[in-house]
Amino acid sequence: MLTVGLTVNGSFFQIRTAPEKTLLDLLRYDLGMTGVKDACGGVGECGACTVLLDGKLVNACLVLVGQAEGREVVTIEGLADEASLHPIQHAFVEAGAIQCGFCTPGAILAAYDLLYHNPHPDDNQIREALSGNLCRCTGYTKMVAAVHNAEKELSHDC
Amino acid sequence: MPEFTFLSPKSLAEACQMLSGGSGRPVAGCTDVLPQIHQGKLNVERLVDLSRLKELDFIRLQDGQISIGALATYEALRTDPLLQKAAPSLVQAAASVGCRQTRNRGTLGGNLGNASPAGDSLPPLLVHNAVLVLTSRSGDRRLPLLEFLLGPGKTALLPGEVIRQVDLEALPDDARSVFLKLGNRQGMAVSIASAAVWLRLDHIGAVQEARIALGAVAPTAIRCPEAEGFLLGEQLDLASAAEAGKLAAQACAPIDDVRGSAAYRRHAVRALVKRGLSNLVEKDMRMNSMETDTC
Repeated sequence: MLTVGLTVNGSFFQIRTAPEKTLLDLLRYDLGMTGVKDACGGVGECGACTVLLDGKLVNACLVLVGQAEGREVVTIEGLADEASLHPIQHAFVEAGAIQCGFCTPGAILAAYDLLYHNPHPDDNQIREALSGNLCRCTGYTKMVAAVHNAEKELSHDC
Repeated sequence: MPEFTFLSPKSLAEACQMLSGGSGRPVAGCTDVLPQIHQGKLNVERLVDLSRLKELDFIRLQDGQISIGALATYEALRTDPLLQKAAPSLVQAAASVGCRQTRNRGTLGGNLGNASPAGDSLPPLLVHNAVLVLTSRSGDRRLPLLEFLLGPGKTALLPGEVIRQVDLEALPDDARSVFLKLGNRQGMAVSIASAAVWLRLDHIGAVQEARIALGAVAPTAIRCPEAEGFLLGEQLDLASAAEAGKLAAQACAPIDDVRGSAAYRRHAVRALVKRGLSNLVEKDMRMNSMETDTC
């Protein structure tokens, strides 16, 4: 067994866990953060378990718990504040970029990572940024629109 | 997932110590290893995690030689300012890998150790005459990439050894290179076929040096000596580019699999090599005859 200490959405956790568990297992099952989803069975194909690890976009299913020791994680649960949705979440809802919702947390974090590095992306850059997040409902068109709407909203805030 | 132990060395020396018994598997980004374990294709007893070894995370350029540490991620390769000019085909290959999530974790050392015939970094590394530095408790040894790759998932890495770094020739000022990849789609695609082309022309535009490497069309990534030899002294036009593509297709030994048939792969190699050559000369030579690329 391993003891892993890590910060998730600003809070520090110390957890005793088996070394073959992944960051996805730890977040979803040990910490109850069910916004971190498992759709492809842990092979890094779908992006539903996307989180930020030390500020970098990663698939949590491909990070072993031991590799998360001492690191900082942000999940979809860490994006909104108590009172309101994050502007990107709001934009996804407004544009109808959500249907079944399974890919939504990962797609929103990928959009967050994109807008952090590139505040005014074009359509192709948005498509490229979302290419690791499989969605079988929306056809992506509404997601691209949502990212553009969020982009405007976020640039007003600056 | 099956049980294994997980070791987290603090230095390369400690990692070599942990691996010296021969039973441990070095890992870093785990983007290939974890899916293989999950799917029951790989049995491991102990993983030795190299991902915290800062000493393996670097990209340097000195005196015409690039040195890349095994821990450099695809995203680091894609965005490194030195490599944009010194190894553009490697930058293009890194950009074509998976998605941002994969590129943030997957490493060059992992792509080499995993030795998939479709590993996208391999054709660019081959045209740059890459040499690996392998390290173990008994010291370093250097091995050309062509001798390191033995077959699908098979390398010359000995038990107890770690891939430390890769040294490659920087692209000279008078040379140019490109990487082209055919996948089922633009994102998250494993190569059906890929090609890296390196070219140096003399002052009258004849080929002085050509290097061509292919991925996903043989048990390992390969160089194409016949196509390279044919191009020497040639003035590049549609016919000579097509002939080089044909010779490259003869050099490969593709298989039928879920991504494509062997025949399709051979056709793709002809097209990719021809297109790569024409892309490279179109850049500054206005070769009208190259514009009608029918492949």
